[in-house]
Amino acid sequence: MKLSKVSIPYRALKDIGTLLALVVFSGNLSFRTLDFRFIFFASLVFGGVVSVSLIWEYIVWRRYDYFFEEDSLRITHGVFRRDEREIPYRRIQNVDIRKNIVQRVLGIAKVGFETAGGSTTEASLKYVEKEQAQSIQDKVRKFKRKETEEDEKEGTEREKLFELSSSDLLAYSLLSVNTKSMIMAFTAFGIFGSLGIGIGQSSLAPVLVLTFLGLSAVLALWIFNAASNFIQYYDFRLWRERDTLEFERGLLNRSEGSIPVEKVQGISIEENFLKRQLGYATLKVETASLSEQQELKSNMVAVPLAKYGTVISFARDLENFQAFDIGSIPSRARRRYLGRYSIGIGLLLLGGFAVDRFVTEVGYLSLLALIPVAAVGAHLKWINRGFEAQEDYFISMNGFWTRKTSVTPYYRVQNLIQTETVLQRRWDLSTLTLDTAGNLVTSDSRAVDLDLGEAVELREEVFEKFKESLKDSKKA
Amino acid sequence: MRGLERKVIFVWLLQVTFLVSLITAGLLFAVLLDLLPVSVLALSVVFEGLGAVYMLLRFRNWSFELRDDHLFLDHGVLKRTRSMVPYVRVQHIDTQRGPVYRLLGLSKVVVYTAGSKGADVTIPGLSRSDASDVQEKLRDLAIESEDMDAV
Repeated sequence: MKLSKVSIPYRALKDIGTLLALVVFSGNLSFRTLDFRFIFFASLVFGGVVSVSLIWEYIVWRRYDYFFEEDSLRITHGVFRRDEREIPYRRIQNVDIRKNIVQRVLGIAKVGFETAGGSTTEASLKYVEKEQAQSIQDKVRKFKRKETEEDEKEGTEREKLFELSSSDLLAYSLLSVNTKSMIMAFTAFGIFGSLGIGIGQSSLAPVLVLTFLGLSAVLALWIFNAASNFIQYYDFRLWRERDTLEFERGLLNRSEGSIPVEKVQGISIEENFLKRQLGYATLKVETASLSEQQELKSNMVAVPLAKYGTVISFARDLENFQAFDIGSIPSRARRRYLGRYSIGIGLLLLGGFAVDRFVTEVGYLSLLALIPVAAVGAHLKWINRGFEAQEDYFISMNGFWTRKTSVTPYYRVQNLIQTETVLQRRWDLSTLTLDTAGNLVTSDSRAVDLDLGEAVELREEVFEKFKESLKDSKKA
Repeated sequence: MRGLERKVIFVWLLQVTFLVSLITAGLLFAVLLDLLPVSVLALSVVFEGLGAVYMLLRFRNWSFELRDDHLFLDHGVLKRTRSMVPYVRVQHIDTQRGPVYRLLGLSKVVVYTAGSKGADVTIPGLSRSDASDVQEKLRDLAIESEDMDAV
C-alpha cells in the first residue's frame, strides 16, 4: 500500500522549512544584502529548492510501500538503496496515531509501530490518510489477535469506559501540579525573606516583597502547568475493545494509543495534596517496557481525574484486587524521620550560625521554629506509608505530597529485592521492593521501613504467592 | 550459601589503588605548585586503607545460593541487599571476563531479567569452572521453568 499523496508536498514543505531555518540561523541572511538582485536570485534558488524537494519527496513516495503479510508487516523503501523491513505482528506492542494541527487540517496522520525491547519506535508511516491510519490500527490488531489464536466469537464491541468532562478537565489541569516543589519554592522564599533581610533589618517590608514574589512565581508556575495539562488532556476518552485499552486525547496534538491489558504490569492511584483535600485521584496504568521515545508518563494515564471511589472501582475492574486496608509501619520509623529532619535543621542552624558569626547578623535561632514542623512532617510521612499483601496483589502506599498507592499482581514480579541501608539497620528497619518489567509506576511498589524480621518473612511470603500465581496462570 | 573466590579481592584492591593513584597524582601536582602542604599526601594512605577495608567487607558480605526455584543473593556493605531472582524470569545469562579477570582465572556471571531494577544481577568473582557451572545450571533451570511468558 501507498502513503497518502498529501504527504509529498507536506514532507517537501517540512524539508524546506528545516533548510530555511538553517540558512536563517547560520546568519547568512542579513538585511543589508536584501537588494533587488539578491531577492531575484534568492527566489530563483528557492524555486529550485522547492521543485527539487518536491521531486525528491515524490520519488521517496513512489519507492515507499507497505504490505500486510500473513504474520508480519513489511515495509520497503529507499531511493538509492532498497531497504526492506519486516515486523512480526506479535512483536508490535502498540500502534499509535499522531497528528499535529497542520496534519489535522490536511487530514493525514503519522502511524507509529512500537515494539518491546527496542529503544526507538520500530517504524513509522509518514503520512497516511486519517481513515487509513485507523484501519491500519484495526488491521494490526486483528492480525495480532489471529496470532494469539483467540476465538473470534466474542463481540467486537467497543465499550467506552471513561470520558473526561470539561469541568473535570479544568479541575485536573488545576490540581495536577507538583505540590511539593511549589510549597518548597514558596518556603524557600519565605525563609530567605525572614532570615536574610527581615530580621536582620527589623523591618517587614522586604519580607512582604519576597512573599509577594514567591507567591507570584508559584502562581505563574501553576498557570503554566495547568495550561499544558489542559492542552494535553483535552477531550480525553478511554475505551476498552476486547483486551486493549485505547485512549485519545489532546487539543493541538490529538494522540491516540492503546495498551494491551495482558501487558499491564501494575496500576497506581495517585493523589497529590490538593486532590486529596477534594477527594479526587488519578489512575495510571503501566505496561511492559515500552520504548523510551514514547512519553511514558502521559501514556499511562487511564483516568486523569475522578472521585476517589470511582477511581478505586475502575481500578478494581482492571485488576481484581480487594478493597484494601493499608497497615501502618512500625512507629520507630516515625522517630527515624524526625531524626532525619532534625539533622537537616541542625545543619541549617550550623550554617546560620556561621553566617551570623562571620558575615552578618541573622536571627538564625528562629530556625528552631522548624522543629514542630519537622515533627508534623515526620508524622505525615509515616502515616501515609504502608502496605498490604493480599492474596493476588501487593498493595503499597508511599508519599505525603503525592501519595501513590501501587497495586502489583504477584505474577508480574521479576525480582524481589530487600535492602537495608546503614541508617535503616540502626533502627532495625528494612525495605522490600517488588521489581516488575514496568518502568515507572510499579517501581514504587515497595514497602518501606518495615520491621527487619517482618521484611524477611514478607519476602518469603511474597515469593510463595508469586509461585502460586504462576501455577494459577498456567492452569488458566 | 557460598561466597566468591578470594582472588576477587585483588581485582577490587587494584581498582582502589588505581583510583587512589589518580587522586595522589592530583594532590602531588598541587604540592609541587605549593598549593598544599606535603602532609596532604597522607590522605592517599588513608584512602587506600579505607578502600581496602571496604573491599574486605564487601568480600565478606557477598554470598549467593542456587536454590530450588530461585537465585538468592546477599551482598552490600553500606546497603545490604538481598534479592531473589526466580529462574522463570531469567532471560539470558552472560559470563564476562576482563583482562585482569582472565589473568587471575576469574569470571563474572551476569543474569538478565526483564525487571527494571534488577535488570543486571551480577555475581562477580567466580572461578572459571564455577562460573560455567553456575551458568549452565541457571540455564537448565531457566529452561526447565520456561513455559511462561517472561513478561
